Amino acid sequence: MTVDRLGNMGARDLHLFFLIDASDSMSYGGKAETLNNAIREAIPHIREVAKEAEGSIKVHALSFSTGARWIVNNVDINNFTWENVVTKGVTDMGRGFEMLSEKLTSDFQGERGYQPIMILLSDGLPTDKYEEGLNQLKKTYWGGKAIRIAIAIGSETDMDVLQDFIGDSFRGELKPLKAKNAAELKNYIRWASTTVSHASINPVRGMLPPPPTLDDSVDVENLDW
Amino acid sequence: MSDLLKPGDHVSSGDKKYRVLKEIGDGGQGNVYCVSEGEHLYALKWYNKSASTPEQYESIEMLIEKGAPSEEFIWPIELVEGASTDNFGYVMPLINTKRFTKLSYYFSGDVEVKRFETIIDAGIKMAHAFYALHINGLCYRDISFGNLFVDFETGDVMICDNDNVTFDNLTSLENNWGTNGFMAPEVVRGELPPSSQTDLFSLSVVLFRMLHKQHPLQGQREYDILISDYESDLALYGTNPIFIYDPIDATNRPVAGKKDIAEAYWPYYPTFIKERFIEAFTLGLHDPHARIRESIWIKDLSALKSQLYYCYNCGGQLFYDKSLLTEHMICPACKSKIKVLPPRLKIGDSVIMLNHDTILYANQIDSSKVMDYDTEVGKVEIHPKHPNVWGIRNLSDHVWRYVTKEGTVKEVNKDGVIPIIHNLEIQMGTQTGTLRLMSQIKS
Repeated sequence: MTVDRLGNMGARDLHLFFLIDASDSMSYGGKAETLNNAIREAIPHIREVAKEAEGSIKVHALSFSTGARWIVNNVDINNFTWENVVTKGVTDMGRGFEMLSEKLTSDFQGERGYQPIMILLSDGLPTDKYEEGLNQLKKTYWGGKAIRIAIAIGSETDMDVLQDFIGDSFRGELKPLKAKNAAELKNYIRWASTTVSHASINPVRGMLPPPPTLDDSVDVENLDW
Repeated sequence: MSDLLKPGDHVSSGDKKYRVLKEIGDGGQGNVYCVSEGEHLYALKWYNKSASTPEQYESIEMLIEKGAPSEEFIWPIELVEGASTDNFGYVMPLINTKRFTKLSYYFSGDVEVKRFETIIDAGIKMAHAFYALHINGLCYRDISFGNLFVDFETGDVMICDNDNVTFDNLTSLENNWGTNGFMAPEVVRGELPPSSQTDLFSLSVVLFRMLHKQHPLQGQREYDILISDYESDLALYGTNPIFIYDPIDATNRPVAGKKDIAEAYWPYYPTFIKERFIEAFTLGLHDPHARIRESIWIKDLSALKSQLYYCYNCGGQLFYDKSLLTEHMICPACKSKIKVLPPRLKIGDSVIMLNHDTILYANQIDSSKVMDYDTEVGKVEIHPKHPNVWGIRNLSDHVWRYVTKEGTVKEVNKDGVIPIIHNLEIQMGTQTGTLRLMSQIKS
């Protein structure tokens, strides 16, 4: 016998969306490999957060290059594994935003959840007109409510675009993070997927705890991937 | 030195050097590592630069000086520093995670609890630990499932993250934080800082949730929120909190088929404990002075434990309550009608169930001994040759007495047994009780 009885917990899930730049430039200097590793590295830590949450954490990921595609669809963090990103083509970031909006207005209609987290990872400039897609995304109920985080990989990224993606998310307090090297990227992805998850499950009025700082003096221009 | 430590890094106090072995946890203020000093293993909390403030340093110093209020607290042992002055941390005992499980795992379904005694004992021990903390003039500030560890075999508890503990005299509202759903409404609204009174609110949430799984304020109104955020939590837990079983306001009941796990528990608990929770989440919700004290929880939970009996159909556990004893009463586990009650001992207004495996505790027999919840004073036993004959073995130092059929007074010393005879009046130290045999519920 156990003390368990039948009933519904009615717990909320936390949906975590990765929007990944898979353009050709990501294949240089080991950036894509670092990203693959950094996400894998974050998985056990996200699982720890999920263990403490009453619902589960569901992962979604899409990659954009020439066009965009879903690569992970609503996978429970406990079953989540990360396949290497295939890099090729240009940076159709706007198409990525559109695809996400389409999903949010169909699959997520009437769904309950914590504030979703959207993590944008990019190393360059959008090659399409991203504004339209981004506006569309922010107009959806789920997109508008999301905590949107942006991480620049290296120094070539257009920070204004990333700031635009973040917008007024989290009361406009967030700035894009610039990962100067592999260790920082790993750190930021882990922060975005765990500390921010905590903040979504346990919403606070104040600032998000900032990502931990690493002891290094690497020159932004002197990339070490 | 950086915010993150790597295996092989060292931190040190004045005379001891600790080697970092691995990371074992992370949080907003910093990470926790397993460290070694000689042959001994410890846990190290290492603050991020932004959390490595002089105030934090001083407050850990104060805690170390004061010492742990009881053995349940994973208390700081000493402060440590690294190579630079940017960061610091403190070492504490390493929790035995083979025995103790974070309470939150109970709610994510990762833990199976076999008996209600375990849940009730864990609640009693938590109440006692916070009682000890509070009488030492301290408050905890962030009682929640993430900080409480339970041994789900024995009901023993451990309380970690004690760097939140401060003197119970906070006046500033600057640091009004905690875990949503556990913070008292006045803290959520930002009107009063955390205190021992707000800890008592958090404790009542923990106890309700342990006994019902569902949150006391999460019913229809929580279910109706699509995406929860700061504003929705502020209303739910701060500006307009309503108990799911508020006797007057029925707008926040459990949602049938969607969010209703409490319905599998609440109707089956005795009235006295339900009334206590109603008090905690109606009066106690709005008035910090009307919170339920730890000693009251200990008394009530001990009484609750004494009401446990078994369903003779499935072996599931039930709670006795005279008002629940009707012909319609069913077992919540197997749904069969409850027809048989075990022998009972009536002392004053309370009725103690005497199951084949019941152990009697001092505070169940003598209500004046509230905190004496783990002293065993008696134990039900079945006669080895006559399975129909049950008795209570005296484990106390008091002499127990009863009058035999022949009219002689019989004394039962420690380790002696009083037979369970219908209507037998027994004296147990200063208390007098009456025994009842197993009985059928009339239909």
